[in-house]
Amino acid sequence: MSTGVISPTPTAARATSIAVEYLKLTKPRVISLLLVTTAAAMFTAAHGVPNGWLILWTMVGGFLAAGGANAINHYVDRDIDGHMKRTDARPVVAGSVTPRRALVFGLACGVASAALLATAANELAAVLAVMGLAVYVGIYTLWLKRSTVHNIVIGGAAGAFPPLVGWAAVTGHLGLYAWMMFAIVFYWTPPHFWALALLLQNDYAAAGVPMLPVVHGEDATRRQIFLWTLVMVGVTVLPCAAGLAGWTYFAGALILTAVFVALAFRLWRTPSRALAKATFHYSLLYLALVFVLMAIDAA
Amino acid sequence: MAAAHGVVGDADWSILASVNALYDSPLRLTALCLAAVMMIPAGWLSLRHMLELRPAGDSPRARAREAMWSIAPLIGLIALLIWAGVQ
Repeated sequence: MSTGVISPTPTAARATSIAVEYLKLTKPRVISLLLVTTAAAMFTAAHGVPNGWLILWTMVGGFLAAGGANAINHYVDRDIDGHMKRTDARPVVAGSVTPRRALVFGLACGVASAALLATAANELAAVLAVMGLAVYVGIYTLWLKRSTVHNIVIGGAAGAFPPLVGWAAVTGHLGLYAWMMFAIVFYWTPPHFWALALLLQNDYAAAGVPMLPVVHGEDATRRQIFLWTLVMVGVTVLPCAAGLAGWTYFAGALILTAVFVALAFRLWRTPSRALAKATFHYSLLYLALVFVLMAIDAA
Repeated sequence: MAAAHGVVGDADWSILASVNALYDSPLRLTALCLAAVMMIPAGWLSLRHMLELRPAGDSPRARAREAMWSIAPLIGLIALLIWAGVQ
């Protein structure tokens, strides 16, 4: 007798489970913040609301590029991911996706992203998306991550490509404002990542990744977080200095940066996991709100 | 008219025109001063601190490479500051 509830067949359940594992390879939670910067750059470049289809396809293309980079990262880092609590359940380490399939999936996502962006937006947006993937995999993951404490400083450039993609998708070129958005993400990355590294330093040490707190200790890291936060404040107000953003952005950015500086200062003076966690979480909110402010200011 | 294009005779006055534009906008001037005050001292202190942290056993090549990674973002900062100022 039917209960009215259709239970999934074993095949459908298995297909769903495989799809979920492949989705995990893309690190969708990390990508969501990148897509906020892409969308905000599109609204800012358009001085209003861009074409809805362009927004949709650029978001999908951006997701595929970043997701592809993350999947390839899972393939490359499979030897160290198992040593870190944060990453030891990743699909490749757990065995739910083979390394080869993760690599092929990542490369396929990159190709699909380039094709989609070139078709639905323009060639520049496609090239920038692929460059972001290449910087993340080639410069950050393969070269710098295991060789220098500056890994996330220089490698942070990879995360700064999404606003360039968004800007290029709308305008077909890159102006000063687009590069300033790139710089805001670039100079935001060290305080953001080092706050996380303070929380996960045992993991990074176990995996042999030379993150700043592992190599030079917590005190040095907390000091660098504070100094880089001050640098980031300066970079955040640069669009106003160039005459590209107005008082709305300036006032909002000052409030947001004041909170960031206060957190970073307290973290520098008072060693505390709770403060490191608060700084890390606030940094996520900060970046999203700064980009939303730019879009509002430009409308 | 020539001044509007930033060129009078053989001289290029566009930088002066940019500086004038900067002085005419309180927002631009305030933001540029704030950016310079935040970025330059903090960037310099960060660089000095990172250079002090270099492990003593590093080879000259490794030291040069680490110094390069420390200095490169600062060069970017100065370039951005100048680019913003001359708009």
